[in-house]
Amino acid sequence: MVVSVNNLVKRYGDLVATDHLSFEVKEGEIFGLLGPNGSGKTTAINCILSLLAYDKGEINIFDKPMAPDEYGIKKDIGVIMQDVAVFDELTVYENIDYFCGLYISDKATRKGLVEEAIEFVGINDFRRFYPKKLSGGLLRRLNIACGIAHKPKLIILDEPTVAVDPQSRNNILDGIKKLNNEGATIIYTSHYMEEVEQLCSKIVIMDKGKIIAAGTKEELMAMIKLGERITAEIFNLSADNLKKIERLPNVNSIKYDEKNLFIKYSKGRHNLNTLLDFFRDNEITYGRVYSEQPTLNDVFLEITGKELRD
Amino acid sequence: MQVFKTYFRIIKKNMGQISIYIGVFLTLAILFSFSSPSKDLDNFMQAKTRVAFINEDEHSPLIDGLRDYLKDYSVYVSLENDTQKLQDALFFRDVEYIVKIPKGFTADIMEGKDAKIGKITVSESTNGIYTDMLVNKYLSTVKMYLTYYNNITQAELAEKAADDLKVATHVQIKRDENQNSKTGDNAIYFFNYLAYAITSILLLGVTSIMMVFNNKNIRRRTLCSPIKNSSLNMQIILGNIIYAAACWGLMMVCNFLLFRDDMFTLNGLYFCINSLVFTVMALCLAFFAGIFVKSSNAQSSVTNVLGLGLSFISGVFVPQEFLSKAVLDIAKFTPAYWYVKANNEISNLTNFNIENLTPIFQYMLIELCFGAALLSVALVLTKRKQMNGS
Repeated sequence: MVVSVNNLVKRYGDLVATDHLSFEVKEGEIFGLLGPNGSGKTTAINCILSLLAYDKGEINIFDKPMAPDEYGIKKDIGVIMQDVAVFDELTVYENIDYFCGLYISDKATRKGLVEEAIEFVGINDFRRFYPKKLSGGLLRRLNIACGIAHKPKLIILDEPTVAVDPQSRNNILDGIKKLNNEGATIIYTSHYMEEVEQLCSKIVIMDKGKIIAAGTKEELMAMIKLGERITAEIFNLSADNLKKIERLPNVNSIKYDEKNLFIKYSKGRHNLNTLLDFFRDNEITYGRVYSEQPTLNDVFLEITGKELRD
Repeated sequence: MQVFKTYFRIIKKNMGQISIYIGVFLTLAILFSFSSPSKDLDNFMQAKTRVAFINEDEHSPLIDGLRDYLKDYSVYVSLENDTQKLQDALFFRDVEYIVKIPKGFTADIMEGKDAKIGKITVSESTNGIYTDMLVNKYLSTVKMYLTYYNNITQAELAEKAADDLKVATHVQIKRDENQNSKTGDNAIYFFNYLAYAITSILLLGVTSIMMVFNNKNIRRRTLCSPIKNSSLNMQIILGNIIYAAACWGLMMVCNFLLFRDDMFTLNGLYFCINSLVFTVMALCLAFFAGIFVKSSNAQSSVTNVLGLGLSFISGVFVPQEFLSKAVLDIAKFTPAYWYVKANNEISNLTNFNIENLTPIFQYMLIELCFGAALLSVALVLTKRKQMNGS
């Protein structure tokens, strides 16, 4: 087991930031910690890294208990914090060299690793730039390069795409997949469900310091009653037809706004075919029709009764 | 030594700003030392007291003798014998001393009675005290002749007293060029001012670096790495030591260029040792302050409060002998006070025996104790911060 967290409790006065948190991260996984802001993700990460003392629980990394002075464990961990941690006084190259140098003392080896990291995050053209001259996206990429240059076995990324443009975000997510393909185990925290859905092989959803659901994406979807959602563009749908649609198989609820018809289904198959057949049989003219699968937000909504982005 | 190397990369990046600081303080130090008043006195000029001489007695050779004697040391101001006018003259400092010869004074003196001369003087006036001494001297001489000469006339008495009081001892002031008694009047001002300059330069430089390394994000990121806390602190401290040594060295080079003659003496050597000890203390102070400084504004405030504040009360700008006892009592709790005190002692040294050197070494030890205390507290606070993850 790469990381094992058992009954982790961290309190700030009366606020319980992590409430008996337990999970395991296996080698080669991209492990996602998903939850709204303030759900305890960053606190959990800080406890794992021994940056915070916790009240109760056990944390093992590479099957050894983690502590602030476990330098042997720390040398195999790469950390990319939510807040960019670079020196404004050093260039892009010097920054990566500094952080890599905290792990790798041999100058020649380090030089190669720094070059690889620069190439990996695609900031070769900016190597002599000072951080203040970089855009938000490039700064995030530099932050990642500083965290991965020493080729760690475990990489912890805490909300690395906050305030990043879509292009840089895709670049970062592709990079994380690539790191995983090269053998690194990843712990990724985010409140963006799309990113976690896209990246993670195992997902833990947190709220108010507790784990409310855990599993693969498919396992999480299976936990809820909700199935697909179909939206159809229809004008002048009669009340009689609306009642008939409501009685179609698997239909959970419908909503019509004189322009679009929104149908939520519970689990079941061939819902779209059945609906299209109904339109044809009843000579209902329709425009665009599309079907959406439930998201992690639906999972979160069904379990907590609130939107993930709240 | 990644942190150590980065320390100097950051120094290099901030070199422009640091050079300006050093240039300004060095210029001020040089101007301060050359514009300071010299203690080197080659001559004296006699000051005369403004005196009003009121005689309520009849004219007599004895009283004329006193008037003539005082004339050499005073400027007579003519005043009416009216109490109100005499008091006004004193208040407006038209006169500093009023001699009032009472009626029957001459007769009382000649009969050997206890005769007194009245006086009104400006309170705590040095010139008044001096005139008191002159009057007493005249009367003592007169009484001496009256005691030992029978039937002496007033004219003889006045003449003998005048002859005696004219006797003066010829004093020649000779300066021994080899004596160090006036070692570096300018140099001591330079060294005293150095307390302000070195404190400010080190506070500005060290806190600039410490602000970078103590940045919360950088600190936390570094704590995730396999570098030991002790190694991290030691590398920063080592960087600080080299920076402080470079600043001190630069100051000493300027000092040797400016005051070459004064510096190639034992006094000069002790000045240098004392300044080095103070630099160590100032470095510890800067390291301590660096823990709390989080912004440029705070940095300026801390530098001004500590640099100027400590210097003002410790006798860096104003000699300690001019400071009140209350201020000096407070200043004793500051290292700059002991540094200036040691400088003053070194300046007066002519005999370098253990007895004379012991207090100087004690003052240096006190400076070092301040430094050790500040460094210890700083290290404890740093450790506590690291353990709290902040």
